[in-house]
Amino acid sequence: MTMTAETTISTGPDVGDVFPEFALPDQHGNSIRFSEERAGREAIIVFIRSADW
Amino acid sequence: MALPDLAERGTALFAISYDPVETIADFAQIRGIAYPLLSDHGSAFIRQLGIFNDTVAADSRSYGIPYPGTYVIGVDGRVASKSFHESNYVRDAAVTLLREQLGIDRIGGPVVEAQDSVLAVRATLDSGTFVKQKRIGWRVRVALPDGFHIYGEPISDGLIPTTLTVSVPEGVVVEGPWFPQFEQMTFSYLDQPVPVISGTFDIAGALVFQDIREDVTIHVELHYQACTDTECFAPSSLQFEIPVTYEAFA
Repeated sequence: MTMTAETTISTGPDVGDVFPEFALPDQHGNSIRFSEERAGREAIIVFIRSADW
Repeated sequence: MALPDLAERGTALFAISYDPVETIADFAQIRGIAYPLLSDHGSAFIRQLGIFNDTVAADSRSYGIPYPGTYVIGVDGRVASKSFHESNYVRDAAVTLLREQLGIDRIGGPVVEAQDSVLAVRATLDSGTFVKQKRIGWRVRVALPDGFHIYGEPISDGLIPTTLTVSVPEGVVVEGPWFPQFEQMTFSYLDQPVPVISGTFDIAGALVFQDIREDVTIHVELHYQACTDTECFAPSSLQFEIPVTYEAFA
């Protein structure tokens, strides 16, 4: 974790928690189901601010 | 650039934003992004996770953004590690993220080598260019000859502990230096154990380019005193510079 002690932001699921399942549309408009796409692999999920600004 | 490392490791990459599909479609096309770039328009999943940025006003165009961060999910589906920055804007260089989160060891930026009569250093940055709010990891690899050691703190009177000073212009923040673990050792010329390190090791940290819009030269000074089991040399400083280039447009 690269955060300071006074951090107050919420960072979601903790280390050790099962990451929740989701299905979201991708850049081609296809619905991507996390568990199917991951298919048992290790995964990195990056939350970005915006693709537009 | 970091993607082949992930592919080789068999890691799946997902990026999620609050943008509508049309926006990410354009972005993916311009950048040639093949991995899933996902649209959580309306921010339902971002809210479900609890990373909705509730400091943004509801009438702002950025309403709906998450706190930017990264999760690493293990093969068991559980969160293996995560990295969030307090600032909405700070973003890790790709190579920094891979090393800090996955332990993938890769050089992404300039390499500077320097040496004096005792030791050699090899300094690397995870990226040779920065945009505003980029966080870039740095490492200084120190190689001591066989039989030599240098000191940590606390230290007995008369011996000099190792310090690494990273000097940057205003607008750049230095994280670190993070030293490896020193080892407590006893020597015939001292009456109590002292922390020492020997061999080849890394001192690490990161630079956050918060508010600067020009090329930067990072000045580094390693100050140390080298000794063998039987004799000590005069304290010494090894200084070197690492250039980083400002990239106006990401």
